Amino acid sequence: MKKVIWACIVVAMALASCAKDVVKTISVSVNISEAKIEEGVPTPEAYEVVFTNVATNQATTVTSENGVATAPQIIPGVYNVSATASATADGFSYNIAGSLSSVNFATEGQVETLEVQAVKSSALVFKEIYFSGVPDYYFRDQFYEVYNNSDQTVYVDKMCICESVFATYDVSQIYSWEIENPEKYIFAQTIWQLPGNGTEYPVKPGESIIIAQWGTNHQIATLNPNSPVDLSGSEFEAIEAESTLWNGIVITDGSAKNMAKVVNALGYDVPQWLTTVSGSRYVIFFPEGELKNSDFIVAEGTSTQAREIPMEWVVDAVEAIADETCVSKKGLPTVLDSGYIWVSGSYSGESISRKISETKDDGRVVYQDTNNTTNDFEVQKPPVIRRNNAGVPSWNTWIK
Amino acid sequence: MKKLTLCTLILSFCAISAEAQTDVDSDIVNTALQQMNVEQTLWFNSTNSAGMVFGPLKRYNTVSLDGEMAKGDFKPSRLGTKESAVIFNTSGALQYNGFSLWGYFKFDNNFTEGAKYNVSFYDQQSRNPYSLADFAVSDWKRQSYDMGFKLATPLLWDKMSFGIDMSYASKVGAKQMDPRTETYRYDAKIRPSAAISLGRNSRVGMTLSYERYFERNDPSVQNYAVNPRVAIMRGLGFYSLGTVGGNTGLEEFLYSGNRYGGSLQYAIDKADFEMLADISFDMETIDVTQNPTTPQMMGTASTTYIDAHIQALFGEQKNQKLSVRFDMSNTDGIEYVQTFNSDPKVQKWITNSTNTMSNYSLIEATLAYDIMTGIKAGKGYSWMFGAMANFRMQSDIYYIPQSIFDATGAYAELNATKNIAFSSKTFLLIGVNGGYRYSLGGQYLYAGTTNVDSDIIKDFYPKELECLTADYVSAGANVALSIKTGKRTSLYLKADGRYLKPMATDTNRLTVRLSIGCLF
Repeated sequence: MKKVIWACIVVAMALASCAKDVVKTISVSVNISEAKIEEGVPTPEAYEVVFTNVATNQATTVTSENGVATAPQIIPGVYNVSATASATADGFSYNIAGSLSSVNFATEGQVETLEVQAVKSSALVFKEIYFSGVPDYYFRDQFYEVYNNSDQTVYVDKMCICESVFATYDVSQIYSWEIENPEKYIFAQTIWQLPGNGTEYPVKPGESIIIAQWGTNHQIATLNPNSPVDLSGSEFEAIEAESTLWNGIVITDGSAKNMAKVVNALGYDVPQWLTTVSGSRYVIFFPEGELKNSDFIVAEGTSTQAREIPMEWVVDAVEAIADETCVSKKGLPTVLDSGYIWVSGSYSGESISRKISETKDDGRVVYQDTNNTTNDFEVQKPPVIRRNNAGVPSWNTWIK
Repeated sequence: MKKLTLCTLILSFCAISAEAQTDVDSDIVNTALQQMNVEQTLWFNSTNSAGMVFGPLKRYNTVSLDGEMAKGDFKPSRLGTKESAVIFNTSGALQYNGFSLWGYFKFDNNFTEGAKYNVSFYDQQSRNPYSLADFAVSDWKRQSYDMGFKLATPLLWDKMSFGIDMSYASKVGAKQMDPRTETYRYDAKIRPSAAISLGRNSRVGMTLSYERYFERNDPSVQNYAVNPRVAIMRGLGFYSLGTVGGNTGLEEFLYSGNRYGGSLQYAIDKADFEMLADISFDMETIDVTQNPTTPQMMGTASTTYIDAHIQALFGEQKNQKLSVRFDMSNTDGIEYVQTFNSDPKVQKWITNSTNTMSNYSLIEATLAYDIMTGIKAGKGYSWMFGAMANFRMQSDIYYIPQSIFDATGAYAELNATKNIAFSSKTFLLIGVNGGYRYSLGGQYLYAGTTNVDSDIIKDFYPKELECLTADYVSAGANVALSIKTGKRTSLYLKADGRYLKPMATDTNRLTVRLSIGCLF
């Protein structure tokens, strides 16, 4: 009997200690394809390539050599890969970038191809976005600052701003839009448009405009002294007329120029433009012609409707996600924004602002614009309107 | 599961409430006799209930109401700085027509103050790598119902007995501050067994075991103005930050576990010597998923258990007991590589591969010796002296980037108990114990590059290590007054206290338990 018992112990110990499928690191590569870069645009010598594990948010940054970027010793998993570089030619700045989303790197030596495209740096860029709100549940002070990052005056007349929609509000279901080549569009349920006749609202280099949800001083006692901003000097507000909220607050129509809600596919009317305090996908674009407010595109298997926006109209796009667990469900196409950012929480009083790339001799600040929000933006507290002394357009005569 | 619960409940109460016809001399009329009854019944303390036929518990019933309190900062972060509990306990054993039956029921309502880093588990000391941890000091309320029985058939064919051991526990806990959670858990166990007599002195036994564990917790917030971040832990400080509340907040976490195993027993039973060896091997898998409608695998903890327990009674009236126990557990932490298939007709998480990312290992060995003197029928022992030595070695590793958590230590304790009989009806049990824990070393090395300055890395794991590697002294005392109030009925009052004081820090931990009960 003793022999039987000892035999059992030995067998049990052997079973417990038998070889396990312990993780091993792998080296993987991406070949960077420059086939889509137009003739005349210089190709960079090297790219900064970031491999981000979507489960752990662990990022590995490498520099490409001869068009190949190798990430040594990464843990097998699903990765987002982005490649960025910049170049200048004929006085234009180009962002050369591309990305791969949710690539399953599972084997040693695995190679994927990453196509990059050259995009002229936008003249107009989102410079600061404040969406998170402050306690208690105050989000009327959201604003979007759009900056002229170029050395030419641009006109913001008829510019549109929207949130792109790609999934249900809790991101539990990703929409499949019933349109031919859906990958060529982004989709929005509500689109607000700036007024103007084409030359009414110039923005000079180094100047910015503030698009407020509501262009008023939010710090007064009757609104929310916790609010970090006085938006009474905003250039535009997403208001069509005075309205009264369910809690009795009267949304007054202030000095800021009113915007027009040109598209509403929600199926119900909201007088203001609210975006989620968890972060969203912000897009500015210039439409070619008038936007249609009917015959919407429907998401397959749902009653959700939206207006399609061709990607070539888009001037700038920025993705803010709720937290790092949302990395695996990115909403904006990577050609518009290959990155993402998040603040510490809803009602945190934090904003996201674009990082400075350089300051010119004349004091004009040029902001980083690589179409990768992860690289280009940082979290700020408190939000600041016209941070780094951005200029106010001359036609804003109501700012104090 | 409802049938299992009902069956367990009925048999538990049968054991407790039955009126068996047994020898009055063997009645359990004080706490010392009750202690001897349990400690000297070797098969009862094994994993094989069938073997109880060879040495059943003496008939007893007890019911008690206990109050428990623990206080002090010498504790892992997930325990409270103050904990209190009200516990209703009842158990009983009987032999009827050759059947041996033991059953118990326990209700526990407890309140924890000042706990941290747990939004997941009812069990504050769970070693599952996949959990949610928050950063707020919070209170918890917990309540559990626990019941079970052990049954052995009569000796069939003069050789063999079959047995079954079943238990069921239902538990609910609620964290009292944002991010709060309600956690619902049940544990069910079934162990069929057989024991065979090999001649006059030798017995062998075999047990099969299945245990089911399920826990569901739902993180939420009351203050919708703040959506707190929580750490989605993967082990040894590696975590991602998720959000509780809001549109994209974390969904329900589900812990679903199955444990299979078996054990073998060998026993020698002679007039002046009794020995039982019990060796078991179990395998457990706990799958952790988020969101029951669109399940996302958060990890799997796969554990192998090996336990060996040898008990021996010897000496005059078998008044000495030697117990050697060896327990080993080895847990693999398995992470999933998943992608979300957003096809409208699919919309689910697809597993591409899995990686074993961590291993948690725990070895514990305990050697205990007790000797009783002055044993008399109807009274129990006069003195009991005991010594115990324990060795514990925890060795956890996260493979890439390689991070480790090790803690090894040894503990030794001496105890003495005097049973004073004031009369044939009144007994006073007074005991003292003292021990010392000596650390044999430990370390926590986090090699990750993210969250290096977070509270998880700077506070949670260092405090765990501090507790597990502290040298400390332990001093305790207990007193129990038993008064026989009827032919087979005694009332008792018990008080237990234990005080821990680490040598290097100005912290401590005091645990006190008061009981009022009845033996009948």
